[in-house]
Amino acid sequence: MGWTARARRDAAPSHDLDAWVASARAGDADAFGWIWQALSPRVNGYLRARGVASSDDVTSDVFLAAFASIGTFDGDAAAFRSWLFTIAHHKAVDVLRRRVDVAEYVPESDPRASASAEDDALDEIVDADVRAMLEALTPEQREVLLLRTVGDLSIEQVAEATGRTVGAVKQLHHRAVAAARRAAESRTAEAVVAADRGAPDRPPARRGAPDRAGQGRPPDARVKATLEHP
Amino acid sequence: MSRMTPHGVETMLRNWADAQVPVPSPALAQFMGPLVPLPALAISGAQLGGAAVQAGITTKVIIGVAAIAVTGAAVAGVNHLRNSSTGEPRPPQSTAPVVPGAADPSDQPAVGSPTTSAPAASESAKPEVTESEAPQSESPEPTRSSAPREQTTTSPTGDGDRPSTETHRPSPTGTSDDDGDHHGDDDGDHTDATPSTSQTVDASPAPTSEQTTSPDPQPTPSSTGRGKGKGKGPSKGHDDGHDEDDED
Repeated sequence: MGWTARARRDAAPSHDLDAWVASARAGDADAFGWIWQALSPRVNGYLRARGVASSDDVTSDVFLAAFASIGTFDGDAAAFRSWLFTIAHHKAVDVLRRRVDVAEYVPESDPRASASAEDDALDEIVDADVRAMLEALTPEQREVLLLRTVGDLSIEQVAEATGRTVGAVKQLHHRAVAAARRAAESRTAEAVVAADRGAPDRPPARRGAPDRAGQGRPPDARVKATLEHP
Repeated sequence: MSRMTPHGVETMLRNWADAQVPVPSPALAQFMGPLVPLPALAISGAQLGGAAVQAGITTKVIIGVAAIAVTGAAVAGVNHLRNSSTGEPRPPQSTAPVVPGAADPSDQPAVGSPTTSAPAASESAKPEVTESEAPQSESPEPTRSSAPREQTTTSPTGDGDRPSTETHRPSPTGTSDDDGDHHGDDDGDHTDATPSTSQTVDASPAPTSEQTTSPDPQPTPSSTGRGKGKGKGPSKGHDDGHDEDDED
């Protein structure tokens, strides 16, 4: 029960991750718990933002894989974080690939053909504001931005995890941030317009995306002007 | 239009991700043994504090809660001092002002100690409101009406405070108040009290009493009025009377 006592005593400062990784490599179960506490929210957030539906289970799978093979790991906390998110990235790719495989059974005439499986999952998983930002990104931009920000990985580590070049990652990250900014600002503008009109409902999260249910509202003229001329 | 910086985008994503605390699967829990954290413990205090501070809510909330706590503690302390300042903490006293009308008839004789009168007056501030209304409402009146009558009788005597005080005692906590007021009025405020009202009509001789009657409940300092008579008693009576008049 010492873990619980320690958990109450103090949070998990990141600078101790080095010691925990070293202890975990030695088989210390307490260190596993501390690592889980310190990194599992970010890993879970990354998976959710990627559109992984059962993100809790996949997060556990990621940590199980990491703990099972931690004996082979050699490096510091930053390297361990990169290693862990690389595992998470591969898990997410596997899960999303499976979803796409299942989606092949959907008739081609389905109006949702333009939307990706990740977008479908995002509608159910991610909060509206974050979803608005992520949906404005391409899957590649989303992947890089999440690894860079949520995973706290460097450009080089992101490049290594995704199998891209450093230059490509830099470009993707730059464009992702710009697109996310535009999405957030447009969402704020739409909220302001909606507030001015007294509309209680929030503006649609997806800008310019086709309405899957066919129940989309025609964009308001002022919103349109705001989006065109922010 | 608000502009979001790249840092704002990253901060927003990080804060959102920090809140996505997962529940470990049974396999992982077994792997970690009994050390698996509870979901509630999976968020560290630093993470919560950092996220809340970045959200800009915690500071205000903390300040607000702290202000409320300090204010409440101060009020509780003042009330405690009020209750304790009387000397011997008496449960009937504390309860008496709270229930002005009901407690009067039964408890009156026991309460009438002189020491209590002063604190009762201080505490009477809250009952004042009820008392101001009291002249209209009849519940407080009966005790008071009896008191003023006797007072009126005493008032003509002027110096005859003793009998008046004795008669006042039976009037309860309110009596203590009554005593103080009456004495004060009798001594100093006769002129002020002169405009008699309906209640005073009963105590016809005591036009003075009438204001005193309306202030009856408040002015507890009967004891002071009694013993010292007119010097100090009136002063307190004046204060109480003025307060009442003001409130009325």
